[in-house]
Amino acid sequence: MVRVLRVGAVVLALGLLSLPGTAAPDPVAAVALYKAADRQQVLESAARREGRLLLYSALSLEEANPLLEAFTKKYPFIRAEIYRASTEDVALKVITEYRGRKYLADVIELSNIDLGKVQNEGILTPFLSPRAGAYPRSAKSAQGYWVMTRANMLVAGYNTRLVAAADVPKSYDDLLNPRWQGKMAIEADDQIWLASLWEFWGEARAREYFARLGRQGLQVRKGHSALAELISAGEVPLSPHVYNHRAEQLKRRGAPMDWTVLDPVVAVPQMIGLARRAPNPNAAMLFIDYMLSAEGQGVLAKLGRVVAHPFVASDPPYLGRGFRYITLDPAKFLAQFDRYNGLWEELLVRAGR
Amino acid sequence: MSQVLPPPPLWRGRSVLERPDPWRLVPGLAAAAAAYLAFSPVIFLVYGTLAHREPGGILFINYLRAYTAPGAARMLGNSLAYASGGAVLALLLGTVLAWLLERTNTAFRGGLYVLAIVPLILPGVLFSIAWIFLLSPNIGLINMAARSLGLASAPFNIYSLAGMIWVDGLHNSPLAFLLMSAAFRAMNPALEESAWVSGAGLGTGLRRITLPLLVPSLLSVFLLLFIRNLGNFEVPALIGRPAGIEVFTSKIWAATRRYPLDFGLAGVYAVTLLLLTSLALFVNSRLVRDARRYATVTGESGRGRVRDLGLGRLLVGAGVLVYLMVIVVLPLGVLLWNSLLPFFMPPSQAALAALTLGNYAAAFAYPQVSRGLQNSVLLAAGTAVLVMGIAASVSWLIIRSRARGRWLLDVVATVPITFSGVVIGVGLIWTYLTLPVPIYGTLWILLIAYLTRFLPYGVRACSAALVQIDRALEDVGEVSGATWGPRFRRIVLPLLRPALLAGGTYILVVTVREFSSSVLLWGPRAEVFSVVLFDLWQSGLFQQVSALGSVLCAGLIVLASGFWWLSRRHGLSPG
Amino acid sequence: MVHVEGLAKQFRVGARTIPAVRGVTFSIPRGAFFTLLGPSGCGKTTILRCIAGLEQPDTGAVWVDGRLVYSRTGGTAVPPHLRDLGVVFQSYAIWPHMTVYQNVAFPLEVRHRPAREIRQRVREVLELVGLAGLETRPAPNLSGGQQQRLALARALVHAPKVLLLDEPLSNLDAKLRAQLGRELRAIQRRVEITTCYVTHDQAEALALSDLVGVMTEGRLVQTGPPQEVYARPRDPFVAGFVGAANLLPGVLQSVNGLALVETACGPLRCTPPIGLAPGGDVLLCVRPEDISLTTEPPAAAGRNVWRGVLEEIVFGGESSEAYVRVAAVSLRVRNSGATLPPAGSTVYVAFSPERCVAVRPSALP
Repeated sequence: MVRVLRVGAVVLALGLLSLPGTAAPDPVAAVALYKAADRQQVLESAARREGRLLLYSALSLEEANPLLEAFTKKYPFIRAEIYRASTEDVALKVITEYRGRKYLADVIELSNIDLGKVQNEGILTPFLSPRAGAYPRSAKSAQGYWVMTRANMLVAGYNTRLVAAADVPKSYDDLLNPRWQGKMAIEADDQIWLASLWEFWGEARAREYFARLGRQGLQVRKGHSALAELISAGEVPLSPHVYNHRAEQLKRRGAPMDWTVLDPVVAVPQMIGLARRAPNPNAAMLFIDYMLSAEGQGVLAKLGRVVAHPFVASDPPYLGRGFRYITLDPAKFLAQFDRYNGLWEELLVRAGR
Repeated sequence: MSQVLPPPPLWRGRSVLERPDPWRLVPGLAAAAAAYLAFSPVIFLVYGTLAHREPGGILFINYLRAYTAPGAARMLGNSLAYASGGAVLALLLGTVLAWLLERTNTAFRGGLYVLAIVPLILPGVLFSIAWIFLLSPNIGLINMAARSLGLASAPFNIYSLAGMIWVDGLHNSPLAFLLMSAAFRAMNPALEESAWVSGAGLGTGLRRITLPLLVPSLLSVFLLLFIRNLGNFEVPALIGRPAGIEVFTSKIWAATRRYPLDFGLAGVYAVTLLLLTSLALFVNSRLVRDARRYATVTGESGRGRVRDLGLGRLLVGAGVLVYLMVIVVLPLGVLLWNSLLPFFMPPSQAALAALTLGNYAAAFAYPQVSRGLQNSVLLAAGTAVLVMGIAASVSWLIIRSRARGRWLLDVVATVPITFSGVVIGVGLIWTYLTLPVPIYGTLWILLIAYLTRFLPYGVRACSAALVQIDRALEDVGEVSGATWGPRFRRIVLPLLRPALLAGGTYILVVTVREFSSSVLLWGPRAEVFSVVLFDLWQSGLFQQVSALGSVLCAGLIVLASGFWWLSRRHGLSPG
Repeated sequence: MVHVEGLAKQFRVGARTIPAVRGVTFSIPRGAFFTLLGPSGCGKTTILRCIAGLEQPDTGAVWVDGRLVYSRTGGTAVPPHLRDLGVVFQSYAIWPHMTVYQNVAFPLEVRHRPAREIRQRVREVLELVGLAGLETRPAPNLSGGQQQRLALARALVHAPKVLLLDEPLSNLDAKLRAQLGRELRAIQRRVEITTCYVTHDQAEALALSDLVGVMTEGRLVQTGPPQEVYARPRDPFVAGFVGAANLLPGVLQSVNGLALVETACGPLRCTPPIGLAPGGDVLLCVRPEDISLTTEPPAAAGRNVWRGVLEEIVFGGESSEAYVRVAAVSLRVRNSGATLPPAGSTVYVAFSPERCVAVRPSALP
């Protein structure tokens, strides 16, 4: 009886939600925070009625499609689709949509910085997933707004034909060696990398380091993955911040590419959150559960990503462990974005010209 | 014998000859549509520049910020240099080729007609990437070939202003070619023939007769290309950024991706672009007013009079071949080559051993790809038809009617050229998130974006042709008793057919590759092919992008060939 | 002066091939005004363009002033700008971005004549065509007639060997056409330039030319002085196209000085046809103005006389035309001035055998 009432409440809430302009945000929260024993059945039966899911994510198509396929195999009654773009663009899109009161997104999975932007706008709503229990506290939002799903590790990537094994840099300071003059490329918008190291080293050391790095005549390229491709093609011998999983992929394909850890590695976590006005909250929760479960994480790991689940090993495992990594508090970064951007432009982008 | 006629019975209404012509509404509606399309994003954009500011800032603080930012002057200089350089190169190539195709019996005319359109088909992203792979200072294939021939260092560096102009000029030369072809076709060949029989050789005739007569068209097309380049995004992003050359669009793009959202700044740059362009368009409309002087189609057919180049034919044919190679074979070749490799490698033994079709399999397995293709084709067809329909009416209003302020309509209809796709995208997002029209995230908003973006090209194409058509041809129709509707349908439209087809073709292919507004406006299930390509590129999946690109090009070459064959059957092209 | 030999040309339009000119041969003597006359599409403009060098024939040869300018077999093709011709196009092709002076000076400028010579020559020619004093006017601001004179001036300024004109008067009104036509002829005589003129207007051709070549469907069917072409057509097409004609089919009975032909209206005598045997079919041509109309039977005096019914009268100002039905045939009779009997009355038509020509009924191959 209670169950029927609960289901009825959910259904009624959903019905109200579908009426334009009259929905209160509560129905989504109700679904998100539901934690009774019959949660799975409730979610599934309601999701059956919803039938759809829209994921906003920065996962590449190469990765998203198998993931969605696997999810759909598990829940065949949910038609899962992805809206995919670069992480900044997705954040921008969902923020713009909410400002215009258009509510399309169900689940949002972005970098910590960009999900931070989204959270600042009040777009996320806290959720409870039984799968989140497996994750350490550092990988979760205290209030339950997000959980980490995977991470991009920024390492030094180099072309094995153009860089002799003996010359491979072993630390950030090695990058200041004159042999790298004009031979390094940086990604066009990697302020996060600069900011993370800046926070870690402190103002004095960071300023001196980056000023000297800038005088190395850095080339600028857009896109981390594109950067990795260019290195493997031989356009640029070295970059201090490529995604290690991408470098690994290329290496596996036989490209003359390899990567090495410079201590500390800057990690950019990717996190998953639930949209406050998700049109399909039940399907959304099922998806979040899946993404956080060992099963879903395993799918990502098999695709070569560095996953966040403590008990799911990346493939190969050394992608995600064996080195020290640092992350940056998104709030701090966003608050000082202009400053970091200015430093980025001044020290690295313009100095090299 | 005067007799007062009884008043007509009330039920009779007007006589047959005075029956209200519903077609009269068409130009007005078309003008209204054009105005709406042009104004709605502008209004919201300007509103944004004034409204989106920190609390306490003065009304125009965004403008101050934008214009006093360091590097603003250099950005302006770069933008102008890049835009005009690319326009000049494209115009040069396009005009020469149009003349060769329309006025001589050069070899490879058929091939030229078909293949010259190919660069239009390639998404700007693909074309730029292909040239990066060809002219990259270290791994560019052309540079490597030059080095293997003995040159000490790579002669070409694509990451420069010259590189940007080169890629852009090449990419736009088909547009110049199409537009100038239409202009040539509308020109009375007797004007050139009379110079010929008067004793002028080829060079003198070109210099003293052909070129001066073409000046209005040339200027018009130059302005179009210049404005278009100002709003170009692909080349500045892919080639300009690494070269350290910033232009308006890259600045706008950067401003739109800032957080906290700074649409104000983006809007200011967009508004500045708009002002620059309106000026250019105003100049152009003054040019076009002098239409009567250069009316050259007076009922004589303008087709089929070609000049025999004699021995020069081979030399010229070789030149055409080189152009086709540079424009089509090289970029497509690089794409094809890249698509068959697991990662980018210059040609070598090892590379040949590593050839694989895996990229094709992977790329076409994505459901987004087939859906994107479908949507792209659908939108392209719809856009082409709607644009040319509205454009024909609007350009008629601008050039033919005696309505007051029609120069204003010219400005309004053509102003969206100034909007980079980025800017239209942003403007439309704000417009349709605010207005209660539920098209956001659907194919409809993409259609509106394309209509907004490409209507100016349709109007330009129709105007360029309409300028060359004597008003008398329509006056005859009017005197013969035809109201506006039949006159327009049966006299103007058929005479405009070359322009309509050329313009429609251009819009068809260029809509498929449009992406800078698509990338902001697409939604789930409403993705288009170019966005899918860009997405894969951003994810660094170069090989799969190359695979898709190769297939796209192959498909569109087939399409273009089919179109050429069809137009030949109906005697539209110089067979 | 101009000799065209075996000229033939085909055009390809879409998927069809259209033969425009089929094996045409003619000569234009020095200083003569030669007109190619024919209906639209008969190939006359194509021939003109071949002489000018703007089209290349498929076969044949062209000589101008004894010099071979085109020969398919010989592989010669002198380009138009070296053929030293003057051409007036149907649309005049006046360059709109130049003034009157600049338009006319152009052919001399491209031949690099000294400036003084150019100025003088232009002045002379403008005076010749009647445009003196309009040097500085922009060309598009001229009237139709003035543009035509300008085109003529431009064609003559460099003293070409041959003047080619492609229906230059067809865009003008009738009065202007007649006047300009006469002026054109006068100028041509004064300058003594060999001229090839193309028109579909047979009155114009007859009025202006020294020689007329009648064309139809790509073939040149008869060439000769206007009087001969008019009075002695050798082809039914010529008979019907040049001037008005009554055409009667008949059968040739015998030839005895004059020919005796049996027709539907009755037997008649006419000038004997060339190369036709008795018993064969012939087509008789008698001009309306050669038929007299009377209410009483006229004196025969060797003429052909028939009785018929006057059906219709068409008033034409300077003359009237009467349509008389004789047996099953309607004859057109032109009567100048005199009042005609009312329609329906019985009349007599008479014409002399010398004014009646017999031709082979089918067109020459």
